[in-house]
Amino acid sequence: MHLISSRLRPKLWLVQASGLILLFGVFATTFASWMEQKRLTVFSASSTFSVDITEADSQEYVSLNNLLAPLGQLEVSTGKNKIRLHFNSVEAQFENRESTANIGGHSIALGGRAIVEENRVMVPLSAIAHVLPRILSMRADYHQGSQRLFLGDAGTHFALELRKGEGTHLVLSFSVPVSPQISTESGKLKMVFANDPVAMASQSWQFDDSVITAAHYTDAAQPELVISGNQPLLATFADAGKSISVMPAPAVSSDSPSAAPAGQQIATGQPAEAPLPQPSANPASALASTESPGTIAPAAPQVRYLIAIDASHGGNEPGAALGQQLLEKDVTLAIARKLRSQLQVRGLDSVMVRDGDTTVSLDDRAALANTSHAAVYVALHAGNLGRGVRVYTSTLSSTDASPGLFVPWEKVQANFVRSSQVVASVIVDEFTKNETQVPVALFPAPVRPLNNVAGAALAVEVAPLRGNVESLTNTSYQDAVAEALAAALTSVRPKIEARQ
Amino acid sequence: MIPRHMQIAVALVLSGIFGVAFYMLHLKGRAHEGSARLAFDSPLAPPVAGPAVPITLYIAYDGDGVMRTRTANAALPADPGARARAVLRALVGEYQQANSSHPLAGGSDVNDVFVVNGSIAVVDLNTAFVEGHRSGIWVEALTVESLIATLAANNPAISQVKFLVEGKERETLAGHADLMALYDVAQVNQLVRRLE
Repeated sequence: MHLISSRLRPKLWLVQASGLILLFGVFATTFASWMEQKRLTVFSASSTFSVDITEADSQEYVSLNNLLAPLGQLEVSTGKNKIRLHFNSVEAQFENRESTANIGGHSIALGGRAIVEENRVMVPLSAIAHVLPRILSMRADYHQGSQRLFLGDAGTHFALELRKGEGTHLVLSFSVPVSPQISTESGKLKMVFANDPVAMASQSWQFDDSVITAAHYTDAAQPELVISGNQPLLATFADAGKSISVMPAPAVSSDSPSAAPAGQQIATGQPAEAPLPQPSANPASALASTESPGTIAPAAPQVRYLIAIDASHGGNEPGAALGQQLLEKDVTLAIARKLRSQLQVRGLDSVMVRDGDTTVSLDDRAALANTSHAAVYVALHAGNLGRGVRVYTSTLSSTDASPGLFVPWEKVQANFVRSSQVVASVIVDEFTKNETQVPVALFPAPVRPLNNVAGAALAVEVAPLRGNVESLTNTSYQDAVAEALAAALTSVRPKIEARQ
Repeated sequence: MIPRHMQIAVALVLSGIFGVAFYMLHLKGRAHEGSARLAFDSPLAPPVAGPAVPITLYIAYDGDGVMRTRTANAALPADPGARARAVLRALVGEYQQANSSHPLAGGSDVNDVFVVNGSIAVVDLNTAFVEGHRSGIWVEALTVESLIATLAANNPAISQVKFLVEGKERETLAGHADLMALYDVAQVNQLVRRLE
């Protein structure tokens, strides 16, 4: 033993190192595979959701149960190695390890073997496009590149049209409003349709033009359209987000800081790469002054009075622990939903930053408000300190506004802080005259992400009504807050539209 | 067929690897416990020896939602950064007293303050400060504004303040107050005046 040990000792470190490397490799592989969990994103007329893609028998599988459950009433019954799914009036039967299934009385080839386990059935991903139409009685369009599934008419396509003339621009026309994340680099403009249901195959376009030369759409996990040109490009939205015009960026002039194209709202989802340009103070007049007869100008945008409702926190970020079982993220979501309903009653458009228990980064919250061109962004918070409602605006002042074409991400709000103060003061007035006698106060405060929002932006912190933290879950209190906010956002509309 | 001596050697190596791994985990756990105990339980050390001079602290009062000045005495070093740190530690010490008007978590501390070009203060907070801080716009804003106002009151040359946590940027103090911003002292002082 001693002899063996002394012989092996010089190489012992080598064996130990190899062992450690092997262990590290195993851990790294496991971690990487966990991080790269593939998911299928499903777009339907009623909802958008995603399901896990798993691998078995060298094929990709998805759970049919997970696909059907969000789309309607699903009943499951199981037998020995069998499973029956009842979806609406259609019955589908799958047998474990069988490559065909009986759906609505028809035998359907699955292109692989079904896997029945416990109360669910896994089917090959490649078969989804012809299995689902049998069950759902609607078209299913599966895009392998982007791992997206479009049900019915949920997908949108776009048409490209290069309009030449004095103001050459490329017009993208969509069938539904879109909000791509836009970034620019020298001579290229990239739109990432991370959340938009763009259902197109990868393709390229070449243009016989000296300014905008080519475009390439890639149907990938993050579908993107890259437009190439010989000059810096920028994108402008029109027709309520259904039309995007790409054109050469105007040269920055110290005499005309508001050099952005007239009458347009310019969106970006990638602040670090493409900060927001300063909006034109008077879009209408700017349009008139720059437009020459005979040129085809982008259509003037339909300015929507849209409210972005941000139920702060969510998912992995619970916010304040208001009580033993009460988290800030749940209170904010409850009030946000009530506010949305109240706005609907008053005929105002709104968009929810989150409508479930999901994690959304602070930058993404501001980016969503900006790309949806929200006139007012309301971040709802809840706290257990003090009483009533506190309304906060950014600590930036209008003197912080950047005079250039681009403004720093952290100072975007400076251009809109006056509008924010107007909205905040109307909210305070509304609470003051509100019959519920909810105490209200208004402060500037350094709250993220108010400074990144390109529009009127405020945070509303709801504190207990009478010191009892449980009152935050009181329906009548939440209703009163939502009603007062909605009333204020309705009455301030003319002022905000006048400022726009 | 693997020779017997190789089997023994591989078995020894594997058992050695696992033994060392468990021992390392054990040591890591002990070290973590020790550092956590040190971070949370150790009292704030006095900043520096020497005669104490009066300093102005902006103390936040959660209940009333106001900020009031208070004069305290602290021994201050000559270096601007160390001086600023001593001032902030005095403020943090006040907040850690029993019956504090704006309680901070035990172990909260200011690691360092760097004064850049005489006018920009970079305040490096420790992990306990942010991890133990209560969450909420109101309470977080009071902390940030109190720190900045106190810093500026004792060094009028400071015009901007930036916060770090353990040397790194952090988005918010406890989910609300912006720690990414470069704070303008004049703007913060305006806010504080409204709260006085």
